[in-house]
Amino acid sequence: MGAVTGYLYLSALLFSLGVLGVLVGRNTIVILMCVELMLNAVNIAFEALSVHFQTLDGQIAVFFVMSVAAAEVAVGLAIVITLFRNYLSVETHDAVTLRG
Amino acid sequence: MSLAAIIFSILTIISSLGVIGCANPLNSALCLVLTLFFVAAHYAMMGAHFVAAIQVLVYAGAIMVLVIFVIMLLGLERDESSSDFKKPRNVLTAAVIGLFIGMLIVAVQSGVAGAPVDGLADASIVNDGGGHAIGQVLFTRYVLPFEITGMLLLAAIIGAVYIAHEQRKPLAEGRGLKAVRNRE
Amino acid sequence: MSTIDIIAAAPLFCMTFGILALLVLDLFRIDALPFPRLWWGVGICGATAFLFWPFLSMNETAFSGMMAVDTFTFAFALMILGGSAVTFMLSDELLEGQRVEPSADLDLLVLFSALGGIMMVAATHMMLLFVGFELLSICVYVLTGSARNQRASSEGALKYFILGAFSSAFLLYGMALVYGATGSMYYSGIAAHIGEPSMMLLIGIGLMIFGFGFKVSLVPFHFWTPDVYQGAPTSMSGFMAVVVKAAAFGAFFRLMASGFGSVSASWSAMVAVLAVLSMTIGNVIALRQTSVKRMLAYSSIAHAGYAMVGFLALGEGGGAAVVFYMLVYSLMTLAAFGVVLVVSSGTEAQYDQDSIESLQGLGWTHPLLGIAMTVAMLSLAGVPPLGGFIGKFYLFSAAVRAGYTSIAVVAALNSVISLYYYLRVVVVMYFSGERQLSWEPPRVLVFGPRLALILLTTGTLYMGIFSSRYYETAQIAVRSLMQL
Repeated sequence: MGAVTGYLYLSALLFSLGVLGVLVGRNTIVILMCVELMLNAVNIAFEALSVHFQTLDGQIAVFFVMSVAAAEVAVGLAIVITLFRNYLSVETHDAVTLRG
Repeated sequence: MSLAAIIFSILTIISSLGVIGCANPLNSALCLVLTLFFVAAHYAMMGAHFVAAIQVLVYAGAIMVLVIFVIMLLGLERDESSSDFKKPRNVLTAAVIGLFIGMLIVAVQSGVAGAPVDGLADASIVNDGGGHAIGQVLFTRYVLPFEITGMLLLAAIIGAVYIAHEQRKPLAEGRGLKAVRNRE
Repeated sequence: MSTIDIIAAAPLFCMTFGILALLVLDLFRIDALPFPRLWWGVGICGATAFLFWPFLSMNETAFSGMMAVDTFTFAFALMILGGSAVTFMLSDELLEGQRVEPSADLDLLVLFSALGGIMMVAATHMMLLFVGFELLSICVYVLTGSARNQRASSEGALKYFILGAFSSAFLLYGMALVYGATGSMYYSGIAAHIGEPSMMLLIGIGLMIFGFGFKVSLVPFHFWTPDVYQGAPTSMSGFMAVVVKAAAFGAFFRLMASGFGSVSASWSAMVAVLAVLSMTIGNVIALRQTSVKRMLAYSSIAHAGYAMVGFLALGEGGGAAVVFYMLVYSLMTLAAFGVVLVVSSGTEAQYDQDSIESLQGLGWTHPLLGIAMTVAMLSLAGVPPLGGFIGKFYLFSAAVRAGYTSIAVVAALNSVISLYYYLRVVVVMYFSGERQLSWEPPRVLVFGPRLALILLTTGTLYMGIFSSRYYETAQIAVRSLMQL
């Protein structure tokens, strides 16, 4: 089955590029976008496997991953906004800066 | 893989390199939108038209719009800070990623299982590509994860609103988002 | 729906309706509740736990084979709900000190995470595992950042979120590879069709361990733990250290034992390495900590390492030991965090009074807190006749029976090392020469935390002496799991 293997290679490559982006990235939102890239790579893998096996399980997995990714992005961006707001209003509490 | 699939794969890789490598976060976001479109094209070529449509609507259409919205709201499009790929730490990371890709390629090489074990193996409902079959499965076999996903979305809404909600007690004058826009 | 579905759904419905009722009540600001709102959360947890009781003696699956209705689910559901209820009781203190109008949002999120955790443990299909995992995680990201005007809280939330999303992507890719290698997403289907483990399967398992290792804070995936535990509001640190870890361990156990049990030879080596690294590094770094919350964070890393030892001995009672250890670990860690929470209650104070020195003389001024902390510390160190000792005994003896004697020795040595930093807290509380606290404690002990600490301390003592009945239940739980 050449097609599925080809798609799995594509998925592996995209996933690795996403990992590279997360490890190397300097802007928080870019890191978040690279995580989305990783999730899309996984989705491609699931879809290709679904077609290969001729069952719907992989496609359903794609749906669940998409919904979860949407929820995750919403919460993540909310956290980024809060952090930004706190970072600018430095006066409230300066005593604890987390190391590392 | 057909020629079209290969071409789209190359385009996907190129645009994802753009996501990682662009200096401006807004450009990264736009590259990601492009990548998502190419992924949707892959889904369509595999015959999953419904999923392709959802990918465009939800991922490229909703999630990325939100991300771009936040980038512009926080004024990040003026930050031009990309990762310096020549730093030794980044070279090491890239080497590790190379090994990682190698590992994954070995994994793929070893071959996929021949036949599904307990999937929904009715070929006719698989190949219709539309929502009918998916809807049927989602409410019969997968009803429990479906409902829990509903709870997850509710929880995410409550959580996101709670976290980002402006405090009742105002902070010092001129703080918060106003300061962002005035920042040079 | 068949009968089994209804039995399985009953506690889930109870939880869901409880959450929605709380949401509506909060929406319309119905403040005329005859009891404080926090106790609503305790009530929901209690009612749901009650509805889980039929699970105790069953061994089936529900909802098209997605959810396991067995003793194992029962045990972990009770642990998760108990931990959540205790978190509610301990948080009772905080609400009074806040200037912002109290809302039920945080309670809702705690209940949602409990639901996610239970789904994770009950899952026998990878999609339910994933969805439960994410429900738990997303709620906890928000809970970490819930002290919105504290920078440490938001930083911790962001760090946890990024690393959490990263590792759940690994978990997901592992799932895809396992699906590809075996053709099934059901644990039973995976087990039935593993055959000769291919590279795809093994690498998939490796990636899944990566994803879980982060949630459970094993070394080398532990770097987020001290910062996040320190930055989060203390009640939520306790919740994370106990409920999230217990849920993740339970889910991981079920996946490994019933899905990949037959290829355990392949992944035992990796597990052994992770266990030893976690124990050692967790203990060694804990020695140097001056902040109580960070010390407890490293302590929890070390304990994750001890628990992983049980995974090596699944055939020799190691599994039951892991389940039992989760129970005792929950009791003692929640007690420790509870004392820290009470001592530093009030949103600003807990970010100032985080050091071990601030506990000087606590044993004399607040006897209940002193006793609770002492019992918790000694139990964590593994001093007999407390629960912690019995738990470690079961774990290490299972490891020895399975032939991993050297690892058991390393674990025992680590326990001895850990005595130092656990005893140091006790010494500071009682023997530092101070009979007065050097700072002004906020208030007298409110009923909620008092009840919680009494329950936890009694539980730890009880487990030390009367453990056999609970250990037997754990054994039944694991046996039912292996057969599924």
